[in-house]
Amino acid sequence: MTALGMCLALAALIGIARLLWWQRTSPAPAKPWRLALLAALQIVTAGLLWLTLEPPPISGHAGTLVVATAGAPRLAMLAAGDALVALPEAPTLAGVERVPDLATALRRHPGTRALRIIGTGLPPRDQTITDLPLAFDPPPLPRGLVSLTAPAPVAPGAAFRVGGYVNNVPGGRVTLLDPAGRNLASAPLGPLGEFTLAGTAGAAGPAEFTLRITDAARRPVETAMVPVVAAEPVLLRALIMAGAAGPDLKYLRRWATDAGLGVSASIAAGNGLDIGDATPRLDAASLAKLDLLILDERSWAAIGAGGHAQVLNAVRGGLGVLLRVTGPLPDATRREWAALGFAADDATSPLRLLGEGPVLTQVTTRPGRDMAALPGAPAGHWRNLGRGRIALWPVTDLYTLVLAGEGQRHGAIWSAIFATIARPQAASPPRLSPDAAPGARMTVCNLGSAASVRQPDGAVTTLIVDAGCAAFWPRLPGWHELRGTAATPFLVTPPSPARAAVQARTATLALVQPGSSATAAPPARGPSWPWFLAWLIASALLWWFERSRYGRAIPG
Amino acid sequence: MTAAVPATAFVAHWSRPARLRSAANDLAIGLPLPLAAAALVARAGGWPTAFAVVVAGLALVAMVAHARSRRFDKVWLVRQLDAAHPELEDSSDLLVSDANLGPLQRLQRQRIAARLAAIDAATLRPGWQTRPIAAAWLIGLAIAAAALSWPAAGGSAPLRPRPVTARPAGPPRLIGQRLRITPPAYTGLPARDAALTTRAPTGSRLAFALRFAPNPTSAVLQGVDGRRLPLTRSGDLWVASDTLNRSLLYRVVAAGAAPGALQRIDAVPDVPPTIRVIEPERTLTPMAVGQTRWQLRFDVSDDHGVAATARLRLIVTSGEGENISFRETSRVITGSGDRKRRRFDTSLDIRSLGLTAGNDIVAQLIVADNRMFGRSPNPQTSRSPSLILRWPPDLGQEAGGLDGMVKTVLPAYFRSQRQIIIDTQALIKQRRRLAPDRFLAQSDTIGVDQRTLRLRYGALLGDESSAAPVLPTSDAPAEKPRDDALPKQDRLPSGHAADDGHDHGSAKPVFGSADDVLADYGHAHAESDAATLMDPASNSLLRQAVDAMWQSELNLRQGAPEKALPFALIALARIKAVQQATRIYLSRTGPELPPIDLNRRLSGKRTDIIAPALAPAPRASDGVNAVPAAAWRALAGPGPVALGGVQAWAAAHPPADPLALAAAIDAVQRDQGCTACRKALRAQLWAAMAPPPAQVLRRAASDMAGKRYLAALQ
Repeated sequence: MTALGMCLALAALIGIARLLWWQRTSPAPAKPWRLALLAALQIVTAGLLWLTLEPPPISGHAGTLVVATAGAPRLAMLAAGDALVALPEAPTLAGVERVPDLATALRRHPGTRALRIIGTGLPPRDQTITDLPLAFDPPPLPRGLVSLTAPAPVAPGAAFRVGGYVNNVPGGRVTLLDPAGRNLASAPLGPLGEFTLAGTAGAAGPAEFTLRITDAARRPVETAMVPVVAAEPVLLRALIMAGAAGPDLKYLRRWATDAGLGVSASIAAGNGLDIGDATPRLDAASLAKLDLLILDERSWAAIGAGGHAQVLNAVRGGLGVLLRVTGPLPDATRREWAALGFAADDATSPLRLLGEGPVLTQVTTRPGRDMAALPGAPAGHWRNLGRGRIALWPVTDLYTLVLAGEGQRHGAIWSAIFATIARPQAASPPRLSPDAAPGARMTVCNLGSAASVRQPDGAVTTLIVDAGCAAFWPRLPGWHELRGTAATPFLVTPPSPARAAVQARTATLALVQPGSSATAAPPARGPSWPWFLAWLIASALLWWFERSRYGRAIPG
Repeated sequence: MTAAVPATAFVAHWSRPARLRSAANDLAIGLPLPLAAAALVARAGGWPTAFAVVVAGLALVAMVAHARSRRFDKVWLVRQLDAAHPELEDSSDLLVSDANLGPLQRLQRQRIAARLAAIDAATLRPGWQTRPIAAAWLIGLAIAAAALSWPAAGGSAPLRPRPVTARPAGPPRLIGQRLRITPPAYTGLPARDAALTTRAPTGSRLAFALRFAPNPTSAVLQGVDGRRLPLTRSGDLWVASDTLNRSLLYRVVAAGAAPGALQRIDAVPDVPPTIRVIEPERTLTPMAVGQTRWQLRFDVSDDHGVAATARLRLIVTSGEGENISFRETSRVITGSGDRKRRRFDTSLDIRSLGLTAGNDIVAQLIVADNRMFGRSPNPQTSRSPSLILRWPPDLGQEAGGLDGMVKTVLPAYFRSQRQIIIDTQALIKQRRRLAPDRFLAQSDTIGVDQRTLRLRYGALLGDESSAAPVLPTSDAPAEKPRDDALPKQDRLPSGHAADDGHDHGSAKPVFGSADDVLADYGHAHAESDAATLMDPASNSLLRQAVDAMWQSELNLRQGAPEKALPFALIALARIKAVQQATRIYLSRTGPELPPIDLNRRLSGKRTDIIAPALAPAPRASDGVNAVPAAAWRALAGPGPVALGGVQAWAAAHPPADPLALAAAIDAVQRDQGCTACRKALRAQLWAAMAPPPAQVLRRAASDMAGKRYLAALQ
């Protein structure tokens, strides 16, 4: 398009230059007004030819409704040729029809066959109104926090992660503050503005952490609230079977007891002597009562082939099994674990955790393709086996964290491993739609027969549950409490303007159907024949005028 | 001027200087008026109004001046011209007359018009009205100055009154307050007035003076921790005084009124003095050659004042090795400098302190500040690090010029049994490559080493050898004279010397004492088991070792290291066994092992064994945090929260800032619906709670689709 325009401009320039050259060399030079008219006709002809080849877009078909949303540029609103309606979020402009919502606009314009959205996008209220073809030219993302992934409910004291994207803050930094305003973690923004921060939850209950974004000059850009719900955990019953006592085992039991887990241990002292709590039985009934079984290579070898079969059967039914490596593996165990997908060497390698702390030792492992890394733990992998999970933990001296004064971190790593591997809860907790905001509909699923919501002002709304799900329109910002089989707190907070704009933008982009012509070429081209006619007339005029005698100095 | 000029223009031209001068006079007289008025108005109503007054006044003055300049008209001009210029012959009215003139009149007009050209119009204008102008400016400026500099009504009162908008009625309100803080005299700080929330040094005298409107029946300063300080009425003031011993969180409560806002007075404790050592730079200073004095320099600073004198504690050591004694003295040093920062300098005479070579002087400065409790001094003391001056032990020898005479003790060079084994094994490996005679020579060399070692160990057992190596030690006995040089009577019949270390009995035989036969005629060599201090078991082991060495030496000397090697190994094993056997163990805190049940010992029975309690002791996981965590959760929801338990908990587990927590609790107790207060209290509780151990939240169960997917994976 620009190449064509440049070619035409060049041709017009050459034509004008030729006119001037003629004027210079002609024995009978033309009068100035004739020269000017000829040059102007050159430009007009070139312009008309360009319009013929690239006809300008017409501002809308018949039946296209232009909808102005929040942040719609006034110029675009003025230029919209077709029927224009403005949603309440749009900027005010005299003479524009204002509608309370999109449904009203469609009712008032029954012939609408397509929609064109200008501005940031449709608000949540209007996102599910219509399936008309939709054209939307998304505006650029605003500066600041455009996406924030709040953590799912965590256990008290456990680690959680917050991630998101910050747009257009080069060299910026994000800091996570705890509810008391103390600095928990800080990290520079990635090259794309992405970040991930880790924090530690406190006592059970709803907590408000704060995310602070500063630019390269450490000036504050934005502050966002991060709701973190620490949920009271259900009892987890774990059995630790160890071939020998050791410091790692000692601190694991210390943490498990402090964390309130139902943990029992069986520690072989050789020659059939067990110095644990009680000698366990590995039959199907007792394994079904367990949520997590922790074995090391010696206890794995000790339970024998029958025990292996029982344990793997129980894993298929949901049990979690954690295989600890405490030393060199016997060949038979190495083969059996490799068959499960956990190939391990005798070689050890140092393992350095993020930040300060002692250097740990891990046995080198070669995880298979269907392995997933243990979250929150720097080494180790797990895989599904039936409904259960089985994991290999190759770190042999995690206890040195406690000796180095990082007991909280030691517990957080075990907590993450246990939470990943252990048998799932019998009842799944209610599932809430994210980013609840006042006035916006939210859905709650996985509900029992009766459920209600206690609002921040103390009013209780009974939900109407249909097929396990219900809808709820929060009125007030603040902590709500969903009361079903258990109480689940959730935070309703109005989103910041930037995040609201990004949400509207993303949701509206999702509404644009990829196959519709409106999206493929939003500005439809008009017909070119009127431009062609005009070009023909102008060319004919130019041809005639060049040959006419008007304005020529008559020689002699 | 010609007659063609119209009369009005003529009048305007000739009266213009007069009109201008008149307007200038009027303006000059009138100008101070609006300025003075503006100053008055500015005092009463502010500067914008004053500006408006200035503008209006100026406009008025200008209008008056303009109106007054009108009087310079045709009549005035004719009169003025005629009066001032007789050469015009009283005919100037002809110049301004527009009526048709007679011929004579026209002639006269031409004549005086010609004369008029010589006259300047400026001569007609009135003079400056200097006196009225001066008087007007004087009066105006005086008024303005008086208006602007008149003292404000009331002035600064000792009590800061709050603006009272309404007639004092209804509940009593605090309308004025003064807190006089008198810091303890020793701090040297002046007394000052402060707000009700402030900081003051510990021990300060607080004097409250409050004013209420209307006066309540009683008033009290109510501490959050339950302390009460009643206010007593004296006239319009309510006063109380107290000594600040610890930080206060209180509010002013007047009877019949709502309690006031929380106030906080932080008690700033006195800090002990800080000592900085300027000289010496290091804690341990070696004494330089020829040094006679030791310079010490300290810089002491304190928040309120350092005592003028400090004590320097000196410890001088004497003696050497394990026999070291200490002598402690102390001396008083007077500091220089101002009260808050003093320097203590001293120079110690090393010789007079009695320092000898190889010994130390340890110096430590002990300095106090000037803290007082009430009237009794209660200073805090600080001690500097111990500074050591050391006279190096070898300094004396060097100083005495004895450098070249230091004797070095030669160590005894001989190979260990392990080295002999290693050498032998190496020799066996080299056998093929070596010539037989060279092989034999090397084997013999190792044999010699083995012999040396054997003799060394043999000496422990009391063996005697003529060829025992005499070590060139500094304490070696003087060379004995040769045997044959001895007098004959010193030789015994057995050939032994009398002083060769053996018990040869008494020189004179006694009849009947058969035991002495051997002593007389035999040679009772030392019994191996009795000759040394070792116990019999070790002795026999060592004997076996020496025997094995013997065999090893024999074979090595014969060029058969293969045969020697087993004996060498036996010898090493025996020596190690002796070393193990003679090692001494002392039990420090011996393990209290349970007595061994000898009936079960080595029987292999494991019945009735009780599992040891190795499980970690249970610990209350949420016990410490239970109370604040419950309040913390309740504060997130609506409705009132009982906080008495939290107050009791905070008293038992004081957080970092107890007053802030108490203030937050108090704020919520006063207004349970205050969202910001609840949030602030939640933040305080979060900071006060110990982080709980990381617990485990099991993952959510899969839904039906997930279960089908997992089943299909198998």
